[in-house]
Amino acid sequence: MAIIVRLDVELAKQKMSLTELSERVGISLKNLSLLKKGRVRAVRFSTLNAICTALQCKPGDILDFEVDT
Amino acid sequence: MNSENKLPQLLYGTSILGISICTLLILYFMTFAILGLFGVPEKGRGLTFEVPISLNEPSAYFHPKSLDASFSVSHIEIQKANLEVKPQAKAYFQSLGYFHASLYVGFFLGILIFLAKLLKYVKEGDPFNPGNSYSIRNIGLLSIGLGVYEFLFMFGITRFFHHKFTLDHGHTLEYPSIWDMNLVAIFLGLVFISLSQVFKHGFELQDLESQTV
Repeated sequence: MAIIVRLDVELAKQKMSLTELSERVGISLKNLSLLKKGRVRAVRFSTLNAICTALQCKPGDILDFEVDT
Repeated sequence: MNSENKLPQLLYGTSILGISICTLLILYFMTFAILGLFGVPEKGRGLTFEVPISLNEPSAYFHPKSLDASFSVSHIEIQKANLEVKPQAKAYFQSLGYFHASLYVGFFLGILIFLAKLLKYVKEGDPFNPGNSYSIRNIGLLSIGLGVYEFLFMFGITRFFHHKFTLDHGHTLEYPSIWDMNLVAIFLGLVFISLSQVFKHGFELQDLESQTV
């Protein structure tokens, strides 16, 4: 998949752990971990909204697109 | 156990009971079928058999009752010309009926096994399991197979015994028509096969949902 998830970068900027983010957005740690690794098939807008609110960032800061070479 | 899981649990238990009964019936029928091959005489064994040939229907055919292990040749006279009269002929006829009954119950056993497998997953709260789609499809195939087998058996019996037996008042066995086929079983089989596609789609939707955050 060409969509890259850069959640770990934003977590490092905010100095927040995945566990803390999980508690703030109300998503299980397992699902967040899968999202961070890019192993999910879809993301709800509500989830994206909650993550961006918690990390004080834009969706484009978390999601990137790279063409497969 | 909450009240929501009681019905699947009950159905699952019933299907297991049905499997046990069908297995015992098959063993019972096969025992007498094999004994019949050896020409064990009917007299002295305390067994009675009845051939439920209906002379009221325009196309009378030999159709042993599948779940009633009773077969007799009391209404059939063996034609002298085409068949050598054998003392064991009666037992062979009965044996054939028992084999048919075994296969007939075998179809039900197969359906119950797949039904139990399906209900096991439903009981555990996982109805949209990929295995369930296959189970439902196989139940449909067995149901269609049952209808087709019944017809083929009736046709085969008539084909083999057509000129070898006469019924009361000189009637002979008639070939079964399409309307003698178990159309209900075939129709239900098609319904189950269609339903399996619904469950397959349901699994795909559930899989997508599980991978959505």
